Amino acid sequence: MSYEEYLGYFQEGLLRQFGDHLAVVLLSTLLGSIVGVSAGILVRHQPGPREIVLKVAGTMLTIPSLALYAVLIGILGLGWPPVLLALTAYSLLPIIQNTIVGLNSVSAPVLEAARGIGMGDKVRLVRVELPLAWPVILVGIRTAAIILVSTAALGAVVRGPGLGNAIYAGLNSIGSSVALYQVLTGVGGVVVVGLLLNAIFFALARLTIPRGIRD
Amino acid sequence: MATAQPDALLIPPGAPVPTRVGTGLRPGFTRRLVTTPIVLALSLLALYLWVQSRDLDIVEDRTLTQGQVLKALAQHLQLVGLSSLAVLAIAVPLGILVTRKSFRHASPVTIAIASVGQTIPSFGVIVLFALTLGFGSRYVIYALILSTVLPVLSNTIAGLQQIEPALKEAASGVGMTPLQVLTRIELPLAVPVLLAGLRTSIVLNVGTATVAAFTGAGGLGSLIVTGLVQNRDVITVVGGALTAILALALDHLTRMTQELLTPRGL
Amino acid sequence: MTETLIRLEQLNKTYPGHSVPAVERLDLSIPDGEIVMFIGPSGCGKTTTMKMINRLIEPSSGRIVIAGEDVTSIDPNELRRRVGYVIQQVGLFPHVRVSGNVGAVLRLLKWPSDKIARRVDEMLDLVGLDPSQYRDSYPKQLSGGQQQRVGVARALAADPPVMLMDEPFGSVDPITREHLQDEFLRLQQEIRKTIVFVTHDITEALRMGDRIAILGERSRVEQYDTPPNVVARPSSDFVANFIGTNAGLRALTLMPIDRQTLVPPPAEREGPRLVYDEDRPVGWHLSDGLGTTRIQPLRLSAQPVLADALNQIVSSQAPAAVVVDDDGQLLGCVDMSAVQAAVRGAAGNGDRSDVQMEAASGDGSA
Repeated sequence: MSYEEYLGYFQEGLLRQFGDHLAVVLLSTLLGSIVGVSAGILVRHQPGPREIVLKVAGTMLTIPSLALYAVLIGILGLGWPPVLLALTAYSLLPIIQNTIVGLNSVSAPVLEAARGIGMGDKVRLVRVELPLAWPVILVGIRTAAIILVSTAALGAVVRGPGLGNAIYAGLNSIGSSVALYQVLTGVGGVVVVGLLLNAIFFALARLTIPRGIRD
Repeated sequence: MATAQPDALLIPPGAPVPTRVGTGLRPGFTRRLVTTPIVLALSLLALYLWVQSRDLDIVEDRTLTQGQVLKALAQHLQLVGLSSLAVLAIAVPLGILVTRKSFRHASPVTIAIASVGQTIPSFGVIVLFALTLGFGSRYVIYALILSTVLPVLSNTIAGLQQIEPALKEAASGVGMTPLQVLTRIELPLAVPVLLAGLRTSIVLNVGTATVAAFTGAGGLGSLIVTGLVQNRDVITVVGGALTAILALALDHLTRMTQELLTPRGL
Repeated sequence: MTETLIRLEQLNKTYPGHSVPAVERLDLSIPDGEIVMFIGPSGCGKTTTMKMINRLIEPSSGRIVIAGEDVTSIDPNELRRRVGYVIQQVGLFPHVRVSGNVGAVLRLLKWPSDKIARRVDEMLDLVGLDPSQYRDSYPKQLSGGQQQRVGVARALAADPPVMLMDEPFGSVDPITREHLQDEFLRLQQEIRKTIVFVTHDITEALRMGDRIAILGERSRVEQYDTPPNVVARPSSDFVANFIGTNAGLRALTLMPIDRQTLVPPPAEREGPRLVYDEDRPVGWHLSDGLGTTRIQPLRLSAQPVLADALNQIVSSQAPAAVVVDDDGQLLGCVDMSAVQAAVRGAAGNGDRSDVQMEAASGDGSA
């Protein structure tokens, strides 16, 4: 079987895996952003809780993905849930870290002026602090997403979604002529997902960072 | 998650912590040194008690013997140890090379390759190596090197590039040869960043090495795979938990080394 | 004297963890439409005191009354929307255009957007920035001086009766600073706000203030008076020291020349003699072979001060400065003895009887 024949034959499945891979990464990045940015906002001013939250998120990232998938299937079973939860956990550290750094580096005079003209805590957070911290937060989110792209590949081992399934299929069909096609396509597809994500985040930065604070 | 106990939970933040001044260590070093091992030991104990409390069937009983588990651990450490040494031996000289003046134009290329390389799944690399080169731990180690070399390489480059040019000029100004500037000024100053990269690389390595089990190279991953294949959650969880504890222990070890080797003035 | 707009009553502030209060039992009345300068050594509590007025710092005890209303316990955000606030580092929102910055308070007050847009243009005009050119700029595209103008426009947008200014011109270069000071004084003629202005620069205090509050430790009011009076009659050694050794020269800039100051020109035979051109004095013929120097006589209607007279004496090498009427006709001269007397009196160590105090201690509008 030639590579063209392989592609023709498996096209549909591969496209779905590609879409799933992108989807699971984006979805867990989104969940991680909601949790991480909120956590960052809550702990940014308190050194004690801040240390705890960062330590917990750091520990999560230290746990090998196969180990985490393995432990999680004991609770959540196979498929999407353990992968989604594990990936969300992995995304937290860079997002929380950058949220805290971004928020805490908003210049003091700007904050004082905001308070001085009568902005309450919530208004100040929404209109001043978050927009100014956004470029840094966005870098954290992008870092998280890029980490997840390759991590998600191993999710196939617990019957998770994505291009890992092509690699896993290759592993299981070693000896057959398509094994190499499957693995190469899986690996290449993951890299393409990564490039696509980089482009998405580049566009997102262009669209969402006000011109006044773009370099 | 039993392993996620941060040391800050044990000692309330802001509590007076006995510090040693003048030994060259940062305040709180002893506290940081002992808390993680204690937490990890407690996690191991909890895991042991949990396994003991279960009614193990014959498959589980045979897989989770002391001998089997220790053998898997030894294989795992061997994979990680050998490949990490190789990573150091490759990445540090390469990092030094591309930061020399004559190679300056090459370092953006290196970084560009690195950022694409970041998204290559190590799972795929290991399977690809097994497929093309063959099964066995030697090829797994090759794959591990390739999968974990980037953090050390990019941090070596970053560590060397962060040094102020004025400092290097001053060093050559007092008559140091380029080699002396490198060994006496640049490398010592780059050590903290370099070690941070090594730490990332080792943690990554512990995780990636679990995948070795799929290509028959053993290690703690073999417990996970056995559990998955035989549909025995206990085995899977034990394999996963042990890998996690190993990763956290090595992370702690390198972190403490990093702290000890960082010049006090930084 | 005008009506009081802001009254601070028995104001205290002790920071948590400090045993000594930063501000202790402060009583102060700030008249409507005046600029009151807070000045004092660093750490004296002048900024703390100012920030208690819009409750960026909450007083530990005491009352703040603005226009008859006790604002000590109202919602601080509401209070701050009614008090303009300008700080040294400006603190413009870098992610928002100039229009958004100037309109920030109006948005908080929920003005309709077309009204905000009109008001923003009006404010930019007021501070001397062309709306069509600057409205859509981002702060980083402006110079330091322009940024501070936007800062002032932002503070003025909601037309607050009170403005607090914390060293607003402290971070621009001296030339820009003087320019901004002049411009602000001109603006104040128009808007007549009640302004509390913190500074550490005595020259700025003397120049800008209708009144100066010199604050000692714990914001104790050492003296609260018009600039000429502070210079001429320091209430204590603390104040005298604070104003500094060149207080005499500063005093000259605050002392107007009036008809009583004038003496006739020196008699011709004794030395230098005034040279006329068609009855108008134009220079001095210096006696000892130095020839003739040309002068620009001071016009009395231009409200010259003693500093101008001293300047003319020094630069013309003549014995006196010449003062003329609008037609250029000689009114009289100001000689060194008048200047000397003023300096001696202002420094506080001489016989004050020979100083023209009526001029110096007037209504402070000089």
